[in-house]
Amino acid sequence: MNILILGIGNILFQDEGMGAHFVHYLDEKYEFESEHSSVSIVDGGTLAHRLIPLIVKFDHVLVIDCIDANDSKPGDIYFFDFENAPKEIDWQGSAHEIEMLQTLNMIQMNGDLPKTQVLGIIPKRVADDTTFELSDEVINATSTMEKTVIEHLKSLEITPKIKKDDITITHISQVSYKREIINDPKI
Amino acid sequence: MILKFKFDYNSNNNTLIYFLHTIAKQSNLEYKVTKSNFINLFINGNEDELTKFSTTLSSSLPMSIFFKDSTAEVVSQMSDEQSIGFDNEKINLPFCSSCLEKVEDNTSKNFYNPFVSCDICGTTCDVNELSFLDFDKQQIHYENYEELFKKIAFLLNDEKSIKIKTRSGSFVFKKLMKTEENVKLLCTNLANISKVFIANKAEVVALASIEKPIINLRVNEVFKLTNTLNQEYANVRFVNDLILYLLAKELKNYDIDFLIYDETSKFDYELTYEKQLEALDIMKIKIIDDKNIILESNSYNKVLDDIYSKFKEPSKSHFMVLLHEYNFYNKSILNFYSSTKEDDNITLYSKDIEGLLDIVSYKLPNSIEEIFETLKKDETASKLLENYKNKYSDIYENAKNCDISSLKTNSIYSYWKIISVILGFTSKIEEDNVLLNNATACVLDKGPRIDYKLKESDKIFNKEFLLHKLIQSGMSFKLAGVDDKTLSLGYVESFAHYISTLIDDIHSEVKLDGISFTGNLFSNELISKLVHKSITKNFKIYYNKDFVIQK
Repeated sequence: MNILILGIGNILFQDEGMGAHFVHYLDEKYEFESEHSSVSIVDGGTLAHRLIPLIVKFDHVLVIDCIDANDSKPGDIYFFDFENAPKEIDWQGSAHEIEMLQTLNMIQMNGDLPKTQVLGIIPKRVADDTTFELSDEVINATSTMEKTVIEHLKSLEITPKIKKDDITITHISQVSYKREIINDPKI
Repeated sequence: MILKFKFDYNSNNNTLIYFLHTIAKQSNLEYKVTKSNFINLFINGNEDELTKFSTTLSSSLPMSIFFKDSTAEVVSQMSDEQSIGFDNEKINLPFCSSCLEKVEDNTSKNFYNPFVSCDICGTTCDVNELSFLDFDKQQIHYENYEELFKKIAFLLNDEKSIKIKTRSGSFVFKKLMKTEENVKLLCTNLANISKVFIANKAEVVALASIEKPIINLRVNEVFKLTNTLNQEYANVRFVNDLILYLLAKELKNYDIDFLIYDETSKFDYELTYEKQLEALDIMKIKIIDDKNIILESNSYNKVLDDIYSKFKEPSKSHFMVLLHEYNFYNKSILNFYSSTKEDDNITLYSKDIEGLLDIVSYKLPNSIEEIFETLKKDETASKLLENYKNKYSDIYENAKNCDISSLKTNSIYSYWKIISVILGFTSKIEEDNVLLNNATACVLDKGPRIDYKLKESDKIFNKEFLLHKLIQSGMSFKLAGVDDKTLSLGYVESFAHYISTLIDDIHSEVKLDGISFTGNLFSNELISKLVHKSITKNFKIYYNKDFVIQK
């Protein structure tokens, strides 16, 4: 099985870049072993529908992005199947989030959508300043996000192995714009 | 038994066909040369004859920059295709391996004769004497050519300068010594090229090829420490006629591997001859990903100049020449023309639309203030501009008042010059492209993603490029603290991504058979490298075969 971990977000708007930063974090920290499956990581940024040709190549996709949800607070994490999204989930927080939802819907309508799980985080929305800095709420949510992804990969018979254990999301968020993904798609 | 040799030869010149005819003719075997996408030689003989012929062919066929690959197989019959003859067209080439055999054979009457006639490459020459003159134009006596070349090598080693009439013109040569000037170099011993330059295998093979081109090579770090040359790169070529070849042989005795040359320096001695031989063109090339890019040349078919002159816009002229060179009139090709000298354009040719379609062209703004005014119309961009103005007030004010009237071409290259001012890489529109220089100097592999966006439109043609978006994303990254060099790399890298995205978009509407790149911006190593990396392997990439990438 070919698995894609796809980080989405606009890194210029603080927490809204968390999806993109977080996949760089995973990429820097882990390597993935499996007898039958492959794990690819892509920083999809705000490319949205440009990602369609990539997404459809995979058997299983894990999208990591910001979302909105009723009765939620910044730093809350939601993990769900795209086809069975909980009712309280709202993907209308910012332009890039709407575009990503539309992209997945478009692939679904064409019948090409692989099995897709979404790991969504509620960002702290502070506008205007362009900075790579993340809010404390989102930084604190990293360990939950990480645990969720690792457990999910294990359920897919992937063995994630830590290759560097001194990685922090704070550091990664400062360099992800110039960082090449190591586990980039080989398919 | 019939043997078929198939040659992948990326040129429309007749050099290979000429050599195949000449070598096959000498074998006295029945043969045929045909041309389709490949050049094919069919030759009929028994096993021994064909083995002997194959050996001769491999030793006599010169290396060429256009020569990509060859295969040989036994076939049941000669091709039905029409034979390609050779209509006594004059071939004007540097020496071939057969010439060298003659001049290096000390039992031959042609030993060290730089005017030897050769029945393989067709060199004929009725010059029979070289005059060696001192500064007062007095003849210096010599017994034979070997003695003459030994004497000249001795004088060059003795730091004398010598004007030599070569088949490509007269040049003043001197030993490579410390110089402050920007110099051109003649390599006289390719085995030692790495003493001075960084050259990959393809570049060394190209220098030695029958075309003997000029290549701009980077001076290596060790040689830089000698402070001999005051330049990062130098134009280098290998000896391209027998006078220089025989001199090079003698220079080896003095461990001289390079000579400096120019056309105008004062000289101590002169080596010349009476007759005016047909001038031998020296093309200048660049090799990127094993593809030749012709930078300067007079060696292409002049029909291409006629085609070029039929269009007013250089972007279209270049594209039409390329279509003609590849005979792509039944294909769909998307051409990217980006230049430092002319207006850029992205053009589609398709037989289905019976001609050319402008996909994207660019438009220079009247001023930088005009760009700022466009940004102010959007709420997010306006806030960004305000932040930028507050954080970089000097850069903002300077940019707002910067005179951009010196920019004349509607091109990405011009946009990058404007961006260099807006982002404070420089304070004015400069002759040099600071953004591109920054990107080249950046040691990272990746920069931030910059928005190269086109205005939403249902049409695939006449798309409007959104310059303010290009500026807006750069300002955002600068505000976020990205340094100038990394930001510049992001601009160049994202240009490559933009090209790749556009190819995918157009391909989803019109099935493309290939992509072509014309205009000298694509001879830039960094740009080409990034563009090749961005484009998926599904698309074939074409450059002009014989014509220059930028007229």
